[in-house]
Amino acid sequence: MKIIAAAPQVAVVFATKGGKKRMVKGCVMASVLALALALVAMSGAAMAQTPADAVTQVVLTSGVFPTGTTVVNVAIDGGSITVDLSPEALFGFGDAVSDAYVEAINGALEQWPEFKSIEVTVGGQPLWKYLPPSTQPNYAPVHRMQPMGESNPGLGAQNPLKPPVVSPQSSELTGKLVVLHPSHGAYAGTSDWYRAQRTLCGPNPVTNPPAGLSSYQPSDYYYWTMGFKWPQYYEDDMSPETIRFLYAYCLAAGAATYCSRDLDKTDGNFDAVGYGYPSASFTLPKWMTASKYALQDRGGIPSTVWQTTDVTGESNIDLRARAYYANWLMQTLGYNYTNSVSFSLHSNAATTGSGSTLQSQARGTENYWYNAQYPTEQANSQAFCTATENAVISAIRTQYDGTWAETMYNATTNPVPQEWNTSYGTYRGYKQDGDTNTRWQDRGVKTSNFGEIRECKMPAQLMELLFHDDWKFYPDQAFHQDAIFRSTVAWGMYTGICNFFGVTPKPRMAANVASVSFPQSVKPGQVFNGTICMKNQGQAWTWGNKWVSGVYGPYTVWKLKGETSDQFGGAGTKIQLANDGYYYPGDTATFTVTLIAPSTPGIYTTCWRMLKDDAKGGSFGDIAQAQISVENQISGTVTIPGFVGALRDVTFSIDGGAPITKTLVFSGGVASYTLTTQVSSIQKLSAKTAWTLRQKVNASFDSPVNFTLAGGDLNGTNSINVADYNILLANMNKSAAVADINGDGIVNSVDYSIMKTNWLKAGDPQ
Amino acid sequence: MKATVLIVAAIAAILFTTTLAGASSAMWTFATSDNPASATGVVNPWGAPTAAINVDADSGTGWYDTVPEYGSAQGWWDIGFGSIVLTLPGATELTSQVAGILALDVIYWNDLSQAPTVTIESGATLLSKDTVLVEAGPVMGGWYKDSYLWEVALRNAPQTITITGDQLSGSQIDQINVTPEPSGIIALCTGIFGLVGLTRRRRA
Repeated sequence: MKIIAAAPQVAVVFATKGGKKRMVKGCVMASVLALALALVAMSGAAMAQTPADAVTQVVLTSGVFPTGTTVVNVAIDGGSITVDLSPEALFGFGDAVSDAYVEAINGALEQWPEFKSIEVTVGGQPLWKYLPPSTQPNYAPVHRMQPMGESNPGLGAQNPLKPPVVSPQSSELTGKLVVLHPSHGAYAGTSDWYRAQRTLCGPNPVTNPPAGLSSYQPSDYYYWTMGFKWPQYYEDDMSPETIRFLYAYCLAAGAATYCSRDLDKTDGNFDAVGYGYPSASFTLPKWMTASKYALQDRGGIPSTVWQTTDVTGESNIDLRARAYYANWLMQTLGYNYTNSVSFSLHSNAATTGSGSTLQSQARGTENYWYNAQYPTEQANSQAFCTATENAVISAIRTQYDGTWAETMYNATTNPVPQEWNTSYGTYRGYKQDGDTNTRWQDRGVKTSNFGEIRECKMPAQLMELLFHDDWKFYPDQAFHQDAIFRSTVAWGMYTGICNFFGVTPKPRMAANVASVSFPQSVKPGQVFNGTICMKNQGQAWTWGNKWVSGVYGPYTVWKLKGETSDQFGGAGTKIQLANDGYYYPGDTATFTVTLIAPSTPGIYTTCWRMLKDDAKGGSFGDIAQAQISVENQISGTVTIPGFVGALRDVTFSIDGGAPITKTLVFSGGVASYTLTTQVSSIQKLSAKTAWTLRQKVNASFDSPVNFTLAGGDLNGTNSINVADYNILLANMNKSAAVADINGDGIVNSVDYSIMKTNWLKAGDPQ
Repeated sequence: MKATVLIVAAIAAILFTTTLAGASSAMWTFATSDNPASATGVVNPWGAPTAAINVDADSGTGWYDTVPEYGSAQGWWDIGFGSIVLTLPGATELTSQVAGILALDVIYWNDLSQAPTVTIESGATLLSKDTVLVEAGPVMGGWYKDSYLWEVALRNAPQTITITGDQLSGSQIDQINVTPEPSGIIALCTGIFGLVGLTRRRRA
């Protein structure tokens, strides 16, 4: 059944690709009309029966299209659909409006994912034909610039608010240019900033309940009953959090990697007034701004990139700035279309218009190419799309363990969400390893006219990673909130880029042993600590958030695990990664390991290895191991009467065994010592220095064993006689260590006196 | 009767003097590490005097050649708690004991090591003992000489003199000298004068 309704007149539309909920600035009349027609529109969406019906409905009711715009024709040819609009669609037309049309129509067709090519035309001509042509100049190569990343001095956890600091760890993408564009950001208006994706994504039942609801319904099983909560967010803020990982991976792979938005959340506010946006009320962090402002603020980039005169309006200029930035980088850095790619990332929405109530069951990932301005790049862009789409789908299905969400979206045990419209069919929920209906959806590679990919002179793609408005039915947004999900899909993106360029990506789970530090010896039964530092060479190690045992909260899968060969009882023990930031490729994570020494002295080995502790993981990387001697300990003091020096090598012997020499630190002629030994029992312990006689005393492991060593044996014979006296005489009044019995730096009467005191004494045997 | 006594006394004095001179006139400088050590300047027709050096293994370190810190001395023994035993062959002609004088000099290092003790046959009477500094050490200590004079009973058996290291500090011995004493010469002269007097009396 077709629902035909008049659309409200729209004066100004700020709308772009991404979420489909848009800020609409219109007259009061328009708002009233829109509100009055909302219920009709909503019900109509649910009841649309054909693609033509859905397209017609969105054109007439979404508020995106100018009044009077009609659908002239809908042509379907297999997987392609062409929607021809009436000329009224060209009223107030521009880049951003063009994207908005495409967005709206794509959104209306989300229920028919089989459409891989969606073209919107007016008078039979693609929309881009009505847009001002690009006048971006060709830039001469200047030099190969260094990527934005700084050299990595060997960092530990990195601040998630800062751009990754990553140096190349490998070279598979060396010589390649990767330009990244995460969602949109905010545009400067005349009195304020406007978010391109203004509406909050996901639930915020406390501060922002859905229209008409004071709270969520009891049937929101996964929210109230299961305690599944996550913070509200904007698409514009979330896409950079995924790009952050991809940025790090590409840098680590040697690519010249750039991002058109500011990834530094600590970078301060954008100087709106200073940059020519004259309202003093403008205060917005740089990282929240759209690309054109970030590029302007970055400096050194010509205004023809970030302030093109091809079009007017901030959103129009920004859309082109992204493609122009990629083109400018490619040309000035000496790259070309064969070794450059432009990667745009967004999240998707199936809800159209100004309503905030969920209306669609669409979910999963889709990827767009277009390059209408540069047809020679279309095949490459399509291949690029295919490579990244396949790799991302594979990553989500086979590398990310989302089984935790099955409890939330369980069609068998949970009530069907009350918003589920029966026209969607049977609610099946989500299963990580489910069938084609329940697993993560691959919506495929599509072509559609989006400004970011239209103007690129290189392979370009626009990925809609997931639907941020399907949270009632599917886990897309719940996953999106999980940094482990984001780091995983980013690795899929990196893998796709590698596949497109025909190079082999690095192993996703890889680690080198940076350092291992344990005591060289411990006592039998002793509890002791050591540290193992593992250097990440693959997917970023992070903490994330998921629902566990009734609580939505932090977790990590990245752990250090004791190998079965560990001889200190560590086998199977898991030590979590510190929850202190992101460990990108090249970063080193430190794990503190607590072990218990065996009761029998001997040499034992402790062995540890990294673990991705989920159903899609396993042990990986190099094994960190250390040999530790389990030894008994003997401790006590050594006193050398008259000695005023600081250091003396003292040679000990346990029951006449091999000598053990320790450099002891003396104070007032007394030093403490600790000896370790693998012998299981002890009777006697002797001690001697090169200036003293040997003393041998009864000893045990349990009580202090103290020595008083008599000075004067200068020749090591363990007796003090004329031979020693001769040495003393020969070095008298000299700075001769050999005869400096008291360690004051000079051989004199003090040393003589010590020798005299011990004259003709003999030490104990060893 | 008186003449007979004088004659006997003269012969005894000659014999005694000869025997004494032969037994005591010997000097050990320990210029080499030979053990037993040979004496130099020996006047003894009945045999060669010997010096057997017994170095105490725990406290003595043996023979030294030259050590600058000991000055000009060349060749000495660190006997520690050990000893040097001198054996002086006796006058085989002598059939009975005769009183005599024996002089002995010992040069030793005096510092951490100390003077040795000297023992001689039982019955000897120490007449005197003098100590003098022979040479001060360049650094500390010095070579000292202990001079002993005993009245001894001479016989035809070998004379034994034992020089023992100080039992607390040990001893370093550089030189030992056994020499004739004036009393022996006096006795010799007495004998000669006795013979002369007897001859004159017979002539008168």
